[in-house]
Amino acid sequence: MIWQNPWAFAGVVAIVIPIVIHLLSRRTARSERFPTLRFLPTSQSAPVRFTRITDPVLLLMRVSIIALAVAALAQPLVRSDARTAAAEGHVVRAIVVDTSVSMRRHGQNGAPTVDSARRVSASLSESAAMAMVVETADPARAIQGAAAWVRTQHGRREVIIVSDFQIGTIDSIDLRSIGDGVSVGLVQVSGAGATSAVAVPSPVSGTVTLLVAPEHRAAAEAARIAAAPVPFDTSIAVAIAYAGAPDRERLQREARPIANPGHADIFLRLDRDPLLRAALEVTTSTDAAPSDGERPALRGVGGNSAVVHAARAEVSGRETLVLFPSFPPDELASVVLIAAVARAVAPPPSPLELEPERIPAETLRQWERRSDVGLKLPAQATGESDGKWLWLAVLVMLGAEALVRRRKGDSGNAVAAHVV
Amino acid sequence: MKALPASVVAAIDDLEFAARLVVEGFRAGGHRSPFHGYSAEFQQHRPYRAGDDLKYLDWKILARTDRLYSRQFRETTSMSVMIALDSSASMAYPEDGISKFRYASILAASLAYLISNQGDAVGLMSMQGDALAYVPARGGRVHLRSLLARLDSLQSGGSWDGPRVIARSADLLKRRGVVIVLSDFYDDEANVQRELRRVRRRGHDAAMIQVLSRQEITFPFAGDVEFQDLEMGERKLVDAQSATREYLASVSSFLDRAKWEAQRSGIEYALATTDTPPERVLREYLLRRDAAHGPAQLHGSRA
Repeated sequence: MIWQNPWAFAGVVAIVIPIVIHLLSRRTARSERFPTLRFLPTSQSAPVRFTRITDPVLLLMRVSIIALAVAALAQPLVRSDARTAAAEGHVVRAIVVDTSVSMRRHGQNGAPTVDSARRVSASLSESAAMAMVVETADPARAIQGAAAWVRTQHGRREVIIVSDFQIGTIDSIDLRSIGDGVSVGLVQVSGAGATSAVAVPSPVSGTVTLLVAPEHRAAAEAARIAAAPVPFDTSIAVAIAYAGAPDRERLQREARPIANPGHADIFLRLDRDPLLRAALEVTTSTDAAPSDGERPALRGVGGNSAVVHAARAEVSGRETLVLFPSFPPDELASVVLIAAVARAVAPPPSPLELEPERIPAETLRQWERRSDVGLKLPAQATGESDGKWLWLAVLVMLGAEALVRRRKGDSGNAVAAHVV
Repeated sequence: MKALPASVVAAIDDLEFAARLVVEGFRAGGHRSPFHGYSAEFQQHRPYRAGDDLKYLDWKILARTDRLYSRQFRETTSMSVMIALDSSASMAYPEDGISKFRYASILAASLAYLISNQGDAVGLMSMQGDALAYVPARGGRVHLRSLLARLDSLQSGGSWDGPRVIARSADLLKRRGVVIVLSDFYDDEANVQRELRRVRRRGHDAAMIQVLSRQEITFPFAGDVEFQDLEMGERKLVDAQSATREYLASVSSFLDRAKWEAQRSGIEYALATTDTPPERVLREYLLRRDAAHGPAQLHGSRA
């Protein structure tokens, strides 16, 4: 038996009312004409006995009426075989599809694994009476929401997770949060077979240009070789304009604030480069560095009255991050600067192509479960109730109570009497 | 023949017919009346003794055996019976069904019928209001009809002066007779017993037929009941369930006392409930009387 509205049982306190009434009611005595009173015991005045209930049969009927009405209001539903069978056939599924990065790997059919997962999800949806599909890169987080939704439904409730189940996708604690009464299914899809390369966008071609005075060219080249023995591999155009370089003054005049995210990224790396900061601290350059106040577009590297400023300007028709050092190219600080630039502009290493580790299939089988606990009947969704039979019983009892009450009233002449 | 139920007999409006039915049922059982009839009724032979009346000599036996035998008969003296009927208000119970008064009336009519048919005299004594109402003891069919009509006209109500009725009944008996009292004997118990003993001392027989309803004996009440005395009008509120035990003990004691007092005083006693067939009551009383009185005195063989 399922009670769909158990709060109605609070009404059972109403049973106290007829009991109190029967205890307190003045008892009516029927009158009887008798040949002699000599054998009857003497009437005695006695206190009202509150422990004596009048008309116990009538009281029992009234208590039964209230009890039946309360039970009817609680909306009982008998868990019959037919209803249970209907509930078993009514499957409700919450399907969580893993769309994390690992699912983008290509399977044997050449298509991404996530497509296979979606096909599986569609098939599971069609076979259910009601289904909800959640695509998420974090299945562990989505499980709780899916379970919460499915618990509000009636019938056989299931949470199905479709994933490659890379280690870390979910664990047993996540599944425990689903709770009782909901079955758990784990469908593993994988892009098993030859690994494929993860497409990495190819860098845009860039340069690091040293702008020096003619007499400093050799020194600058030497500094470059010392700092970066291999050619620069950068996607950003960077220029270092030393004092005396032909275009330095023009570039300073035309300098604009750094706006390119790539430029900003490189500036920040230079600003945080520990070797460069250390070198700039000890540099005793005498080249007059333009102040930030005179050239608002210039930003000092290192933060103090910097010996290296950076800005955006056009070099050879290309927007370039231009560095204005206040020391000549043959100083040690120049080598450190060039090395720092080389490090700052280097592209990120390409991801390693590794076969992800997966949760073993045996573990997944252990985590799966089928639950019949708290199987909700479809009748509960429609508000169906067997309370109508109890209401019928209430009507019958009301009729019987009226009949009994009338008969008691007709038997002899009722005489209201004080209780003795 | 099975006795007619009390309800059937009581439903017969004609009291004479009802009485006849009861008596016929009684007779059909092969019983004879212990109220000794006038006709000489042969009882036995005994050897002739000097001084016996020769008209009682059995000549046939003499012719056959050459021996002298006298025939003995039952008492040939006719009796007078006064039937005293309690017509007080308490006899009207129960008011639905067969009242004690109706039942006692049928018993009285049956007794009168039986006695009259035996050739004895029968009379009736009762009260109407405060006055005595009686029919003197006489024989004959006409008198019987008159008595039954009077009996039929009686109504129960008021009170009943038992000692006065009994004393007057005995006064009206000119010779040895019987006073049969039909009552519930609720009132003036001691004086009634005293008067009945006085009847005995005067040489008459006295009989008490105590008539009660089944409800008075079993007290089948429950819950709170307000009882009202039929005679006095008093009221008493009782928790019937808890009073039952005490009531039954009191009634049992009352009945035992009445029976014992009667037996002690040589008064015939019978208890009749209104659900018992009248014929059965009659039979039991008369058989008991028959057994108690034994062979009667004989006309020619007084010892």
